[in-house]
Amino acid sequence: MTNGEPIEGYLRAEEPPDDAVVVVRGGPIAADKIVAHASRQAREYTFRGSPMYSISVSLTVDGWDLPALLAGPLSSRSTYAVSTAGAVREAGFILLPTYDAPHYDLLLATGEYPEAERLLSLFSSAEPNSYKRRGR
Amino acid sequence: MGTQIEVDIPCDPTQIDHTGMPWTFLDEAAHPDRIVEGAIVITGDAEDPVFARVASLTERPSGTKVHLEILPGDPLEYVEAMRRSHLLIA
Repeated sequence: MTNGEPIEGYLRAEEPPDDAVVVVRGGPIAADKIVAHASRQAREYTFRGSPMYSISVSLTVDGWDLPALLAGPLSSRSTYAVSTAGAVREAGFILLPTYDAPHYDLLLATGEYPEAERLLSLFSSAEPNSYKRRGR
Repeated sequence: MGTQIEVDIPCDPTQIDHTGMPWTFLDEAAHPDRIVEGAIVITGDAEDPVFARVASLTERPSGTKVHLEILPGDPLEYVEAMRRSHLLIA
């Protein structure tokens, strides 16, 4: 039993290609942050009737390229790391297109530390975000 | 050794919902009484803090959900501007 809201009402009809770049936010890119953020999401949302452990990621879909992601949804983040949709899915993780593009929820089965470390092993090392917003 | 940074309320600025704004839960705030609509707060996390304005507080079955409007720039830029204008002496 969960009090969460079903995420199904917020899904887009979209299947990202395997070579789409998946960008995870930084500052820092660490397993404990993945666990904390996934736990928060699971408290509020469900997927297929169960708590939805997930983190927000941005993908190069719908006309978005990496610089646009770093200057847009990631503009407040000092660092970032990348993988591909194919690598993430090959490792068994689900990418759900939620809300408006380029936002996705990357689902974790347990939201626990070992799974978060396994997920992060699919990503590059952290890179500085040279597009970080420095004021208008 | 500097003082450890303590954000007012932690969030992932990229974790948005249908409003397009980042959100978090009120009970995660260091001092929940400071989190009121319109308040300027430090959010994100200690390693990458950002300024935000509290956009709304909404009662949900899972707790009080806080929506945040992330403000532009780095917090230190605000401090530098305040020092330049003598709004902050130190």
